[in-house]
Amino acid sequence: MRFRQACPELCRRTQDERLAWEAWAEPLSKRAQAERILRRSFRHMILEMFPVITKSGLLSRSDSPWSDARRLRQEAPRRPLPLSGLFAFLCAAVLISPASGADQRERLLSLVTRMESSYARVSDYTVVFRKQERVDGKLLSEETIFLKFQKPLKVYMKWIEEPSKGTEALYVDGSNGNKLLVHRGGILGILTLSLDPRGSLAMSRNRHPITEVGFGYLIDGLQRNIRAALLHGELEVIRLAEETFRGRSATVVEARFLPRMGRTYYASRMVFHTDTELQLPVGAAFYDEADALFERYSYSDVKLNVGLTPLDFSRENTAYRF
Amino acid sequence: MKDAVKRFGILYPIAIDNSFTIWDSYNTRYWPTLLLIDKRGVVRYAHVGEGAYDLTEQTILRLLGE
Repeated sequence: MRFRQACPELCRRTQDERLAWEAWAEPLSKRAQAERILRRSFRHMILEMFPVITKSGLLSRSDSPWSDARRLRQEAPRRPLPLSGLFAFLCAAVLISPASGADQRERLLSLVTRMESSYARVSDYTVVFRKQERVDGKLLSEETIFLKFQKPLKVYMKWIEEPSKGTEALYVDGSNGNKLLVHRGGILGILTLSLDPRGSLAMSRNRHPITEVGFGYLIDGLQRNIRAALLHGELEVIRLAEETFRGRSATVVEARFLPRMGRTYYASRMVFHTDTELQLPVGAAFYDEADALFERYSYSDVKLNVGLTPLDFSRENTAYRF
Repeated sequence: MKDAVKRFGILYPIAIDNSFTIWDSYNTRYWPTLLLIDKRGVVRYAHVGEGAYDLTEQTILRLLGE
């Protein structure tokens, strides 16, 4: 009762906040509105705490809780904080969480949007692509591949390190009967294979067909999962920070998906790095429910819009062995 | 090869082409390449690469009916 008298405006807003929390599970437009309400409430809550605490005799109205923290600590034992003040503190503590969560959510959405816009400006690229995947329950060794990619879907890959050094793969959507051409390295390189890109042979050591290689598919997967998980409040951001990745400045995101209501996500936990300069995902690792790695990819030596030609994706290219 | 034939229960004849004689005589470039040759010895159908299994089966049935 005393709290109600001291802070009627705060009590009225508590009802608004409850409704705002309920709206948290609603579509994005309503959630944005909910975030605004919660932020405004948090700001006002802090301001309203001062008179409540003042009535307890801890601070004068002109005192600042931040600059006079030492005095607060010294005086507190003499007169315990009243229940109303404690309640206000607890409310503030609860509301700090959505404010920082909203900030992370906005940063994450902004990161995703920047990746999409950055990739929209790319027509072709070359990279050194590293991949490690778990296939049939076994985590295979890392493969290092020189990759040429041109939109919409032209792919040339050459394995540049053992164990598959010398192997080449070529896939051009709409050409070669939509087949994946593969020329194995070493002694197995006598024949050129013409394979269904999703067939059993092509997929024997891969989780994804060649049609899903490159930045575009990765960005699409990240954005779909992140946006869906944020929409349903099912993403726990563990880490969102700046750090170095393969010698370059990057933003790292580590997050856990917390599916409810039968929804599913690509992974249980993911860690991905976005290159600060390129604004593209240059590293991604995905973990299953047992927190075991099942996919890890990285892109280095990225060269964008290099002007690749039809010869770069032709089986007649004399530099290739198809 | 013998092990594979046994494992998959293959009953039809299999040619071994270690010297690439058949491969070269049909100007084959990619594996797999499927050629259907009719009773007169004329190549009636060719398919390079995996897939097109339905079309291949239909063609075999048609050629058998000739």
